Amino acid sequence: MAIMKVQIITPEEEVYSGEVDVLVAPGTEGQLGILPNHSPLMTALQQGTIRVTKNGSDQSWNVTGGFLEVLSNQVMILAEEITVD
Amino acid sequence: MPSVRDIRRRIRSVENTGKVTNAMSLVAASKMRRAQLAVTQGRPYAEKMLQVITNLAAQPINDSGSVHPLLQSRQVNKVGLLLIEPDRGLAGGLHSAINSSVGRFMGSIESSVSTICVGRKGREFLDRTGSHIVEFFTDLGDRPALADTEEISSLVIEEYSNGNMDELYVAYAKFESTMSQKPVVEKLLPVEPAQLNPSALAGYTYEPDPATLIDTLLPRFVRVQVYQAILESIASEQSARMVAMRSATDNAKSLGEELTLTMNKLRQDSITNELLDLVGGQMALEG
Repeated sequence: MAIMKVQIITPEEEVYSGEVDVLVAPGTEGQLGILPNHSPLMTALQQGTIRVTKNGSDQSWNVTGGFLEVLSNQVMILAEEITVD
Repeated sequence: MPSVRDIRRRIRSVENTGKVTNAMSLVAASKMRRAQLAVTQGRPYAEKMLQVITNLAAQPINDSGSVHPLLQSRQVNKVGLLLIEPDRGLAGGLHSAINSSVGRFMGSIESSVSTICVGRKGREFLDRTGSHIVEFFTDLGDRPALADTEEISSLVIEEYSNGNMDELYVAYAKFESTMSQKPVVEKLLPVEPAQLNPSALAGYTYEPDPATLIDTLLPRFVRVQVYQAILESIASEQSARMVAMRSATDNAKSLGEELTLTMNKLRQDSITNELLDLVGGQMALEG
């Protein structure tokens, strides 16, 4: 299975970086689920929860907004404010 | 000819100065570590943001053909400059390096320049050169959060949007390493679209659509660039101060050693002279 790298960064620090199986994020057009080999995408995020699943275990954060870019199995989330859920 | 006592007094004063500069370099070193960390952690965000924005700006614009005001290049009559300098001095040649690059920049521009100034040292320079200051910010501290710089970036956006500034540059000391900080003057607004071939962006899905994305991203972009410039400036300040104070401490030490040597020589001379006097007197008595 293809590997998907996720990086979550804020202006102040890198919050998360690692390989995950599934990513769920609150896009402005609705909740987004992203799996490996997703097509290139750029979207704004609204307030909500980001969740990553890796080997069956979850990790999640609350974001107030930001945006998300998917490009060749690299997911980059630029969030302005983020707190551990 | 200074007396032994004069020299001793000077040695004490030099040693005290050395103690002060040593303490300052230690304080700066610990602040520097934190500031450097903040800068390096903030960089990926700022760089990514720049990349995304320039890519988006290169996108074909929506049907209405309207361009976001922050992207529109206008005829340049009034230039704005956001000058970011530290509040405090004693940071070696940092201020004068920024000031001279700002001076060169202002000299190279024919239209009138108005300035938004952050930091007391920048203000001193602008007052000296008689530049127009729109607004002055100070006391951001050593570790500002993004929210602390909000006021500055809102003003930047406002001044640009309402036409008080047709182009906006930001001047600060870019942090390269502990030993090297480079003064830069960068164009912040309008955002220059990236020069890329259309195929590079083909296949990208935008949600909602590029125009709406740009609307939400641009103000955020400005905020982040301003914030990052401030972080760079703080890291540069602390690094420059640490290095300057360390070399001042070294100088104090070598000056102290030199003075001690002179003092000892002087003391030896006077002892020799006294001995000569004694021996001379003795011989006169015996003779």
